[in-house]
Parts: sequence; structure tokens; C-alpha cells
Amino acid sequence: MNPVKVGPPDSSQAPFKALIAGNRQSRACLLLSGIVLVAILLLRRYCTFRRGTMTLYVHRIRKVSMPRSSSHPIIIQTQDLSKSFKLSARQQRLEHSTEHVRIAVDKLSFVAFQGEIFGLLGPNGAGKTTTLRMLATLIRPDEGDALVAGRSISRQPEAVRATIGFLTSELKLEDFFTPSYLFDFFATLHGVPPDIAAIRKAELFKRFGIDEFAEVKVANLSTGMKQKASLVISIVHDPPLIIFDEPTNGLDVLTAKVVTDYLAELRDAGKTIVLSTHIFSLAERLCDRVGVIIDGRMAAQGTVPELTKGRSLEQVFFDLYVSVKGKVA
Amino acid sequence: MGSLLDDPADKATNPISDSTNRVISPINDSADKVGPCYEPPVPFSGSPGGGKSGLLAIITKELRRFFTDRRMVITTLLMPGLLIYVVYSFIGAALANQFTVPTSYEPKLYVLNLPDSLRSLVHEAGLDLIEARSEQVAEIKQDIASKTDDLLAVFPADFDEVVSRELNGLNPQDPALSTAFELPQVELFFNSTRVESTAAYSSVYSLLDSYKEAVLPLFTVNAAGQSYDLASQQDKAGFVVTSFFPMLLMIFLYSGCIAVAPESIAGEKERGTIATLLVTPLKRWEMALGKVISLGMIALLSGLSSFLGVMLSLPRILAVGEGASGEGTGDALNGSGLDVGLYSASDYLMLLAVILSTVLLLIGLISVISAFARTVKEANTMVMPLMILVMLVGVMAMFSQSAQEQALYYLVPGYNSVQSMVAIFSFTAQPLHVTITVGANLLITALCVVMLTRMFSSEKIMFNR
Ligand SMILES: Nc1ncnc2c1ncn2[C@@H]1O[C@H](COP(=O)(O)OP(=O)(O)OP(=O)(O)O)[C@@H](O)[C@H]1O
Ligand SMILES: [Mg+2]
Repeated sequence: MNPVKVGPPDSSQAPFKALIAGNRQSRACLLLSGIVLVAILLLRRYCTFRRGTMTLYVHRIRKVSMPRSSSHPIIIQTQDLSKSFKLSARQQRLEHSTEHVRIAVDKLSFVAFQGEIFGLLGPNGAGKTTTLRMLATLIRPDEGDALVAGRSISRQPEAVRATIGFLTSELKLEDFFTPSYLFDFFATLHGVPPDIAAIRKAELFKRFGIDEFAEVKVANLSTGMKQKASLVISIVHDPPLIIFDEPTNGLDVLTAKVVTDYLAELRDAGKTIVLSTHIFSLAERLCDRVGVIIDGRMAAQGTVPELTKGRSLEQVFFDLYVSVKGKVA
Repeated sequence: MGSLLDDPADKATNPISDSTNRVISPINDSADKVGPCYEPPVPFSGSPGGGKSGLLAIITKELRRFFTDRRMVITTLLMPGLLIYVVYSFIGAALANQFTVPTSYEPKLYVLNLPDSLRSLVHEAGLDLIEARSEQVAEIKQDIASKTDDLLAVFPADFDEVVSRELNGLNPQDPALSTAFELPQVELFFNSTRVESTAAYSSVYSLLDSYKEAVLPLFTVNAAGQSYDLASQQDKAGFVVTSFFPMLLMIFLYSGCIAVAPESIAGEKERGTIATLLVTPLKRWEMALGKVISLGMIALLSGLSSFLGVMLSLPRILAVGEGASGEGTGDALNGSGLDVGLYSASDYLMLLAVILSTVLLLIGLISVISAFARTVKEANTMVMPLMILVMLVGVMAMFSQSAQEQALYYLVPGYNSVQSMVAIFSFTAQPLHVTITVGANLLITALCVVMLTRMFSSEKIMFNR
């Protein structure tokens, strides 16, 4: 692959001097270094150096088998997404664990299609939140990559961020400001023109009943109110792709219904929604397709009828769990 | 380039490539990793940050956060200046009370047998002497001892006659004569434990002294009515100001920075609000620079508030030294040696540049340290060494009489600020040194912004627990 280099090996200044001197040997040298440069650039496209270890890692070009049931194009595609966390001494003590590394997500591959609600289902600690955080570019995968709306999460995180609306309990709103101000602020960050932002604000605030506390500081809002404000602010820029981590967590049934109805409506309007939940009834009712995550691995994925085949989703999950872990803990 | 790398077979077998939906093969090199992917139109991604740049949005937000929070404004802008003013003035006033007499005070001065030759002098000096009778003397002395009266001056009844007789026909140039004759004796009774009494004593004493010099001009000291203190006004001002102003300024600027930066950076981390910013298309450098600029502005204002407090209360503190010498309080305010008009516009400009760059430097450093911390409390602990360093360079300036001459010293951030201030205050500032100082500080600030940018992109630092 590497062209044999001829000429003086001391490199940095040589080409410049050579250019001035104009002798043939150094011109060849210049040409060769150009070729080497191009070769390196090309190599980079196929290979990455895994961080930490300096082993050359050539990505296999894999064909992803497409579920035939879907007539929609893929919008999210993850491949071998992996993430592990180093556990600090304090965390080890807290969790009564002796392991130093916790594998949160283990070679996870799945696809989500445009215009569907895709549900990540799994027990506590399965790696749902970690997966969604990687998709939202808050954290980087150790291995593997994902294309989110055609953008690589590891190489074009900024482009990914412009495309998605992300909601998780980890993202807090500043106590000091009001929902109204924060909506405008995040609209600015997303480049939403003020007039459009105003229309969206009126619409969304009315829909979620935020108008009543639009001018109350976040610090003085209840958990549910904060959750509603966070939700609305996460989609201030009308993203085509919405990634929600446990969207109904902490909401009463009434508000939860407003949220799930809204998500269904967004789906019908052509948006794609990826959500995580451990509430099977919600997944059954809302999701078009689901992926079941157990211990950071994808245990099964498909449309809800495909998976259930008449049984309840919960029963399917228990069966899967037993087949993966041996027993229901 | 992209098509070169895409496996054409891959495309052909891909069931979605011939669907009617818009399929765009990935624009970048990820193509080799995963298959083609639908790219939905993104309504507002034209320019992340939008019409109004993200930088500006962050700055406005930070300033709004600060200025609409009454508690913040009071504690970091109003209080430092006000507290310093009140405390310093109080200390000044308390000290002054120890040594000086309020101008409004009317001392009770008694005099027995005031000679006519002295009357006009007494009147000119503005002293209000009450003529006493000889039978009152014992009673007045009693009152002075018990601190109700201030002074009693007892002249011999024939003071004028004796003085004129002794002087007549004598050669005033012969010093031996003054001791050869019996001279009139003037007695001044006062109470040294009473400030007013002591003050009255010294003013009457100096009055008699000048009278003595007038009638018996053997020689005079500093009587020609001109200024004998050959130190220039600038030197006097510079001396007072250089000794402790740079340290004060550094400490105030530092305290301004410490009041806002950990709260804004470690605080946002602690409360999880920074993650909300991190998922927007806002660029990390915009976030870092926006924070440094807005926090710098607030810290500067806070430092300015403290500075104003000092400037306004300083005359009172400095007045103490003057008052203690027993001259009263009258012109102590003018005597503080702090005529701000002495400094030229370029001095002020240089000072401003140094202060600005110092604030940015401190904010940059504190921001980087705060970004490492998990909580505001931790951040405050972590910046302790920086505080010690700031104190150290400040104290060093207090003991060094003049600024460093070598340009090399002005490359050391922090130290250079103090040395530049010393130089500016003592009228020896060299534009080159000031330029080096500002340049070095801004360079470090820029490095801090770069580092902060990288830290904002690092999940290890942003989400460490
Ligand atoms: N920052 C972190 N440091 C260490 N371990 C972590 C960290 N974040 C997640 N983990 C671990 O990774 C695993 C997966 O966590 P994750 O939050 O993704 O689970 P989850 O599926 O969202 O669970 P839940 O339903 O309870 O929200 C857990 O074992 C968790 O302890
Ligand atoms: Mg979770």
C-alpha cells in the first residue's frame, strides 16, 4: 500500500527547498509525498485507529439485512455500538461490585425506519439510556458507529444534533429562567427564526398547558411541569427525528396521555420517534417496532405483531429474558 | 469521492434504494461502515446557531442570568463596593477619632494676662481664648485635669514690657544675649490624655513659637512661604498608590471572578443544565468563549465595584496619618497624596488594558479549573492554589519599590499584571511592557478557551461522577 519513498528521508523542509532549487530528484520526492498524503487520506476512510490501543482496525463493509416488512427508508442505523464505563471506587462500593469496567452497551445493532415509533424495551440497567445518549452524541461509542439521518454520530456530531430532538431526565433546565425564556433561548441556539419560534411556542405551550406557568421560574415548577417544559423545549426546532428516553416518566396519566397522543400525531406527520421504556403496555400501544435490550445486547427486534405473534409483549420479554439469562432473576 | 467508495452491489441489493422516498447516500465517509440512510430535511439546520450567533446567545443568556437576579447583583456588584466603603470609612473614622479633633469642636481655652502684642496673632489664628481672672486659675486647672476644659495659658502680667525692654538696645544677632537676661515665662497647662487638649496645646504652642521667631529672628526654618517638600506630587501619589493598590486590585478582580465563574461552569455541570446545551447544535467554542466573555464582563464590574469602594474610602484612611501629627483635620483630605488627576489618559488606558486582560486571564483559569470540578464546592476548593498565587504576586508588589525593568518578566501571567500596575502607578510604565503583559495574558486566556472547548467536548469531564 505504501509507496516506497526515495530521496532524502529528512522531510519537513526538504520539499520547499526542493521547489526552489528545482532539481529533479526533489521534485520526485515532492510528488511522492503527495501520493503518500492521498494514500493516508484514503486509508483513513477505511480504517480508524482504535483509541487507546494502537491497532489498525479495518471496518468490514457489511450488508445490513433489511426487514422486508418495512416500506420506509432507514433513518437510524447502528452497527456494533458498544460502550463501557470505568467504575470508580465509590461506584463499586455503592453497587457492591468488584468489576472495574461496566459494559453498558455491547455490540448493539438495530435500524429504525423513517416515520415510525421505535421502542427500545428493556429492564433497568439494560443500556437503553446509554444507547440513546450515544445517538444524541452526548457520549461517544467505544466501538461501532451509527448513522442518524445520514450523519455519523462519531464524525458529524454537530450535524446529528441539529437533526434530532433529545429528551432524557439528565437534561435539566436552568432553575432561574422561565419556560418562556428558555424556549426562545433554545430556539435561537437552533437557529429558528423568531417569528416561527413564536408560533411554535404558542402552539406547543397551549397543547401541553404550559401557558399557565410560562412565566414561572423553572425552580418553582413541579416535576411534571418541568418534564413538560423540557419536552417542549427539546422539540423547539421541529426536528424530523425525536429521541425520547422514558417520555412518560414522572407524568400523571392525563399528562402521559397528552404526550403519547402527541407522539402518535408526530409520527403521523412523518416524524420518526425513538423512545425507550420499560412499560410494555405503552410499547404495545404506541410503538410500530420494538427492540428488546437485555444486558446491553439486542435480544430481538421487529414489528410488534412480528414479535408477539398473539402473545403479550410482556410474555415475549420473559421468554427472551430466560433464554438470555437462564432464569428470571 | 463518495461514489468511489460505495459498493455498487450493496446499493443494488438495498431494497430501499429504489423506493420513492428520497434516499441520499451519506455525504461522508461513513458510507463504508453502514448502509445508505434517509436524510430528512432539517427545518432549521441551515446554520447551527441561526441568525443570531450562538456566541451572542450565550453571552446574552449569561448576562441576563446575572442582571435579572437581584440577589446576585446585590451580592456581587453592590455589596463588595459598599462593604469596603463602609468598613474602610468606619476604620478610617475610628482611627481618626483617636488622633484628631472634629473641626466643629470648640475647644475651651483660657488665658491669663493675654499680652496686647499677641491679640492680633491670636485673632488671625482663629483661636478663641477666654480671658480668665487669676483667682480662677486653680479651678480651671482642676477642670483641665477632669477633662472639661482644654487649656490654660498663663502669661506674666508684664509680658509685653519685659519683652520690649529686653529687646531694646540689645543686639538680636548675639545669641548669648537670650540666655543672659531673665526672659518672660509663659505657662501652658493641658491634659495629654485628652485629644482636644493636646491639639489645643500644639496649636497655641506653635502660635507662641512663631511669635518668638518674629520678635527674635535669630534664624528661621521654612518661613519663606514656599513649598519645601521637594518630592514631586507624582512621587508622593505614586508612592502611596504603588505600595498596596496593585495587590488590592488583584484581590478584588480575583474575588469578582471567583464569585461568578465556578457558579456558572461547575454549577451548570452540577445541576445538569450544561448537558441541555450540549445536545444543541451550539458549537463548543461558542460556549467556551461566550462563557469567558460574559463572566469576564461581570467579574470586571464586580472588581470595579470593590475598586470604587476603596477609592472613595481611601481619603478617610489616609487622613488618619495626617491628623495624627496634630494639625487638626482641616486639609487632611487634600493631603492624602491621591490626586487622581496626576495620571495621564495614557496611564488610564494602559491600566484599563492591564485590568481587562487580567480579568480575562483569571476567568479563563478559573473556568478551566471549574470545568474539572463536579460541584461548585469542589471548584471553590480547587481554585485555592490560584488564590494563594494571586495573593503572593500582590504581596510581592507591596514590598518591591519599583517595577521590574526586564521585559522577560512581563511574560509571566499574573506577575506581569501586578508589575505593570506598579509601573503605571509609579509613572514608570513602558508601553512595551504593558503590551507584552496584555499579549501574554490574552494568549493564556485564548489557551484556556481552547482547553475549555475541548473539555466541553469531553464526556469524561462533562459527565464525571
Ligand atoms: N456514567 C456511568 N458510569 C458508570 N456506569 C454507568 C454510567 N452510566 C450508565 N452506567 C451503567 O450502565 C448500565 C446501563 O445503564 P443505562 O442507564 O443505560 O440503563 P437503562 O436501560 O437506561 O436503565 P433504566 O431503565 O433503569 O433507566 C448500568 O449498569 C449503569 O450502571
Ligand atoms: Mg434509563
